[in-house]
Amino acid sequence: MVTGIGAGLLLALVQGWQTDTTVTVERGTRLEISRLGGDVTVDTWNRNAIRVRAEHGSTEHIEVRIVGGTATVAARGQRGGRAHIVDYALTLPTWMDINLTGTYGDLTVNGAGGRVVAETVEGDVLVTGGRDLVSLRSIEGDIELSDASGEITLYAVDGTIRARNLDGRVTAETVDGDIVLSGVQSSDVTATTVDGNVDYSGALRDDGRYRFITHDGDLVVSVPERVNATVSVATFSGTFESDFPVTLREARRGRRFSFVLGSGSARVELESFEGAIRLLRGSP
Amino acid sequence: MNDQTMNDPWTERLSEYLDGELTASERRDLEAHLMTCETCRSVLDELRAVIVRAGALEDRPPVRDLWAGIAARIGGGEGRAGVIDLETARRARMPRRLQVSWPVLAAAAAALMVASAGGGWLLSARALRGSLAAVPGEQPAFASPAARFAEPSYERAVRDLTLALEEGRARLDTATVRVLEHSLGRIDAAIVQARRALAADPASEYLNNYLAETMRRKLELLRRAAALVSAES
Repeated sequence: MVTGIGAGLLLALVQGWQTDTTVTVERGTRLEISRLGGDVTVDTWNRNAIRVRAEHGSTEHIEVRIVGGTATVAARGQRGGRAHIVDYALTLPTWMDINLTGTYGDLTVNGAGGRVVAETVEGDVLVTGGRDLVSLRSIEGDIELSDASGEITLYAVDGTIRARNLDGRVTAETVDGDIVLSGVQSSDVTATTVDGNVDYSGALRDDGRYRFITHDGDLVVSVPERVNATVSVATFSGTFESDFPVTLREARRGRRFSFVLGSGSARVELESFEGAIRLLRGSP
Repeated sequence: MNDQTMNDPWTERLSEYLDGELTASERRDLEAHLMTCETCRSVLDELRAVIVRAGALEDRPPVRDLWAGIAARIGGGEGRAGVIDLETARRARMPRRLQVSWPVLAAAAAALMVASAGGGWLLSARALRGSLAAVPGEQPAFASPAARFAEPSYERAVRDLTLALEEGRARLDTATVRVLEHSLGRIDAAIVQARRALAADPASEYLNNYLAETMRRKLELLRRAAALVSAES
C-alpha cells in the first residue's frame, strides 16, 4: 500500500520479462534501493525523471514508489515477496541523492551530483561524482571513486580502494587490500589497511591532518615540493626513506620520530609496522 | 538513528562543534542547521550524554555485565544505527583528564548506542581512531598500557560478537564467511605481532597506540559482521 500526505505519490508497476519505465520526480527527491541482489548501474541526466530498466524473471515485476520525497525501487516476486536476482540500469537526475544497499552484485554510479551511499557485501562499488557525502562500502570487493567532494568514507574488508580527484574529508579503510589515493585536495585524510600498501599523492594543506597506516605493507606518500608539515614516522621493523632533507625533531622509543618540513603546520602521521615508508616529492 | 542521519554531512561534525573546533563560519552554518534538524539536535544531545557518562567511568572498572545482551541486540534486526563519535569523549573539556582506556570508552559508547538506537554500524572508525591518535608532545593517556589491553570489557565484546557471528554464520554466504574469517585472521596476526613487540618494549607509545588501533579494527570488523548477520535475519 502506498501512502503519503502532501507528497508525490506514484506507483509504476510494470509486468514482464524486461522492465523499462520512466517516472517524473520533483527536485530534491532521493533514491533508495535496498536488499539488492544483482548488478546496478546508475547514469545521470538533466531531466527530473528516473528511468528504470531491469532484467528479472518473467514472474517478477518492478515497483517504483515515491513517498515523502523518497523514491524507492523494488523487485517483487510472484506473491509479493522480494525478487532476489535483478540487474538494474538506472538513469537519474544528476542532483539526486542515491542510497544503494545490496548483498550480491556490483554497484556502479556514473556522474552523481548529490550524495551517494552505496554498500554491498560481495561486489565492487565504482562511483564517479558525489557531493557533500559519499560513503562506499564492500565486504568482498573493490572500491573505486573519482571526482567526489565532501565527507568521503571508503571501507572494504577484502578489496582494494582506489580514489582520485577528491576534495573533502577522506577516510579510507580496508583490511586486506591496497589503498591508492591520488589527486586528493583535502585537509583531513586517513587511510589504513592491515595487509596492503597505502599510496597517497595529493596536497598537504597547511592546516591539514593526514594519517596513513599499514601493518605489513608499504607506505608511499607523494607530496608537493613545498609543504609545511610536521611529519611523524613510526615503524617497528620497517624502513623509512625520504626525498626531503630530514632533520629529526624528536626521536622516541619504538622507532618513532618526527621532523618538520617548512613551517610544520600540517600534521602527517606515517606508520607501517613492518613495511617500507617512503616520503616522495610529487607534483602538486 | 536513521538514513537521514547517515546522509547528513553535519552529523559527523557535531563532535567538532562540541569541541569548539569548527571555524566561525562552520559553527554558524551548523547552528543554523540545528535550528531545522531535529535529528542532529538529538545526536548532539546523545554526544553530550556520552561525554558525561564517559566521564563518570573514570577510575572505575567496567560494569561487569556491560556487554551482556549487546550481541543479542545487534542481532536483533533493529536496523542500522548511526555513529557515535568517541573523539568527543577524548577531547572533552573535563575537569580532569580522562583516564579510561579506549576499550572501556568503546564499550560505554557502544552500550549507549545500542540502548538508544539499536545495532548496526556502531562506532565510526574515525571516532575511535581519533581517540587513539597520538598528539605530538602529549603523553599517552594510559600509564600502564600493556595491562590496559587486557580490559575485560574488550575481551567480552570480542567474545560476544564472535559468538553472534558464529551463531549467525549459516545466514551468510560461505564466501562472505570465508572473507570475514580470513580478514579477522589477518588482524589477529597483526595483534599477535604488536603484542610481542610491545612485550619487548612496553614503554613504546607507538606500539601501544598501534596495538590499540589494531584491536579497534578487530572490534569494528566483528561489529560489521554481526550487522550483516542481523541484516540477513
